[in-house]
Amino acid sequence: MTGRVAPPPGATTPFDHVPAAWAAFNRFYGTLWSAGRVDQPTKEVARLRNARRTGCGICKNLRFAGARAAGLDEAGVALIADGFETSALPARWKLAIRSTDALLALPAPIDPALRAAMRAEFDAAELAELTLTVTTAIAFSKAAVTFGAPPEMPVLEVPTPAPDGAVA
Amino acid sequence: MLELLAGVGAPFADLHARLWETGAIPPRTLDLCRRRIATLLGRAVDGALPGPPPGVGATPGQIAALPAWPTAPAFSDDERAGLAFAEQYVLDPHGFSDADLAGMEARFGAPGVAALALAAAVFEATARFAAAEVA
Repeated sequence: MTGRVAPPPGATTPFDHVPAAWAAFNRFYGTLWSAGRVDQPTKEVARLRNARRTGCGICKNLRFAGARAAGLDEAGVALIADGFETSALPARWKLAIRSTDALLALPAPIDPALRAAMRAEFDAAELAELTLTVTTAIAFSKAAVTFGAPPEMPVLEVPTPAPDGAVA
Repeated sequence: MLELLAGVGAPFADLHARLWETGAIPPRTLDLCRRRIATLLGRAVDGALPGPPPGVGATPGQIAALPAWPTAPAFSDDERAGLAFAEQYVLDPHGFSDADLAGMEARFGAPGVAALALAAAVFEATARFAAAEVA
């Protein structure tokens, strides 16, 4: 995450200017991804949907290793696009995409039918976890946009965020 | 909100607490941004999450004047710059120009811009989660 605001010398992101707060973010985000109850491919589908909708040049090219190991391959990622509703994606992932689109549209009301479908698929704790994962992805992808992303970036597999790690 | 989040509630609350302690941006400016971002998403701030230390957050007069922040006399130039950044961040981050970021860095320093962006992101994630009304 480099570009219009320089990181401190030897660091990788401008957020390293505020190391204690950045470490707290990484503990939170790592816990959300690695200690949660929702399967990682479902969360990764939602994260990538946001990355494409928000236009984050970094986020959309990152792949979290846990989701890939659990079955989300590039063929599946390619379907997280317009027309996903009629694609071969599993219904659970389609629901995650629709939920992400709704969370991006807030404060517009969420379709009651979508709410009902989410509650049928996820229990209360899972729904809270998935929702916070998506809202965090939405908000932090904007940091990469704000700070500036490289014009081109290859698809890159990175470790799934963990509480003792850092977001790539 | 925290009661919904099980194991991630404690690190989420700690993250909120750390935002006020960076020393890179005044807590009052952050508090104004927190309140403005919540309003943009149709929410009030969540009192269960750590806020600014007593006496250094937004004043009652500022809270009342927040809807008119671009012109209201209750705000300093730095506070207005922070609020403008927060609104742009939430509504259209692609609209930031190089000059915008250079101006912010000249005003607040790189640590200040980093602290403001990190806080804006956390406040947006929080307000958007609340607006989803998953409970």
